[in-house]
Amino acid sequence: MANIRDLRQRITSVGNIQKITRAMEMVATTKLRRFQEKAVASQPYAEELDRLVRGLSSGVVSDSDTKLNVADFFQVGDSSAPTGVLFIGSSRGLCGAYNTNVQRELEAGLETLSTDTKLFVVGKKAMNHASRMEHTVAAYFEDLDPEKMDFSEAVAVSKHMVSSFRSGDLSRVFMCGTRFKSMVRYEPYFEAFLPIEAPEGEAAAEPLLEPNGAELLDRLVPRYLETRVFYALLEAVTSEYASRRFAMKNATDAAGDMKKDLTRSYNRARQQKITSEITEIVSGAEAL
Amino acid sequence: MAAPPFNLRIISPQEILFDGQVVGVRFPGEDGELGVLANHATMVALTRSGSLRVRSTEDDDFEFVVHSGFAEMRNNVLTVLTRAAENVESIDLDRAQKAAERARDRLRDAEGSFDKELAREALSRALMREMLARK
Repeated sequence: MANIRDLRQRITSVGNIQKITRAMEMVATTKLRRFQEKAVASQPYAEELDRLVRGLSSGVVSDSDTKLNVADFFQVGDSSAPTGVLFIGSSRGLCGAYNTNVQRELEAGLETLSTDTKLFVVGKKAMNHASRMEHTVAAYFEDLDPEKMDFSEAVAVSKHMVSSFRSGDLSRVFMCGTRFKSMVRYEPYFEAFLPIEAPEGEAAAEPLLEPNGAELLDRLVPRYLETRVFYALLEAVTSEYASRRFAMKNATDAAGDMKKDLTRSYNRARQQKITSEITEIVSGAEAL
Repeated sequence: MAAPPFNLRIISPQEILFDGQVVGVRFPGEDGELGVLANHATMVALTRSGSLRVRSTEDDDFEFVVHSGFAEMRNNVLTVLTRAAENVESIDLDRAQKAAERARDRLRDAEGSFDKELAREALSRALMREMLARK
């Protein structure tokens, strides 16, 4: 028979844990909502820039004789050079399978590459993983806090990768993070970042370009890449909180079930004790 | 006769600042001010820091501060993509001054780890805000 006092203690401690996980669930829910709003708000900018780059690059890049500063953005670098990967994970734990999923996606993505890789890492948990797996880490953005959502931090990350790419240290750059689809759907991805894939074929109706195509792309392309990093970070944080909310909800539910089972055992043990006490008293009285 | 309206959208990485019908827009292009009316030809332009003036369909004017970015006119929709923008009336002069001061400090701090280019951009944004808010 389980000890009554032990059972009572366990019920209390499970109850305490439940309170904590419920609080964390609520915090994650509010934060998730905030980041989701931000992600939705910044989506149009990212989309418009993407459209603009695609529209302009098909016209300009095919023009091979234009002296384009950004032409190398559209070409794969020295194929013997390593590939860079921006690897975005979380800085904090207790967020379910979030980090494991990105890690798995990263491993799968790296297997498709034939070159050496250099990682650009965001998030403490991602860094832990990278050092355990003995990947070469080119940069670890330790101070970057995606929760602050500062555009200039995204700019710094983007610049770092872009300069390595343009100097020929990297042949290509990929991004590995998590895409936020909805409160209950967030999927890891591994996709190309550099070179930019210019769409095939002729551009539709040639627009007026002010001042001219080359200068426009010069300014547009870096901003486009920065925005992609910014949006990737924002989506990563949003997914992290969605994942944490889900994990904490499961934990709270599990704690509730456990408490119910424990209470049942506790009551049974209590009744058994009373029954046996009564039996003892009755048999004692009969003996008299 | 009232001028025909077209759609103006001002979008920054953080939010859509404006989305509505207007009859005329003047904004600072890379090589000078550009004006756009309805049915303007398809165009992509660079913008620099400055004031973007809008004539609304109700015939009143309002003004935004925009910073370096891009403007695209296509199918009677003018899309202005900018790093940051705000309605001139909502500029917080205090904040702009502080931002300018901070940017200047960072530029002076030769050994600091701050990105000089970013600081310069921030300074020019802050100064432009200050200038337009005082007007």
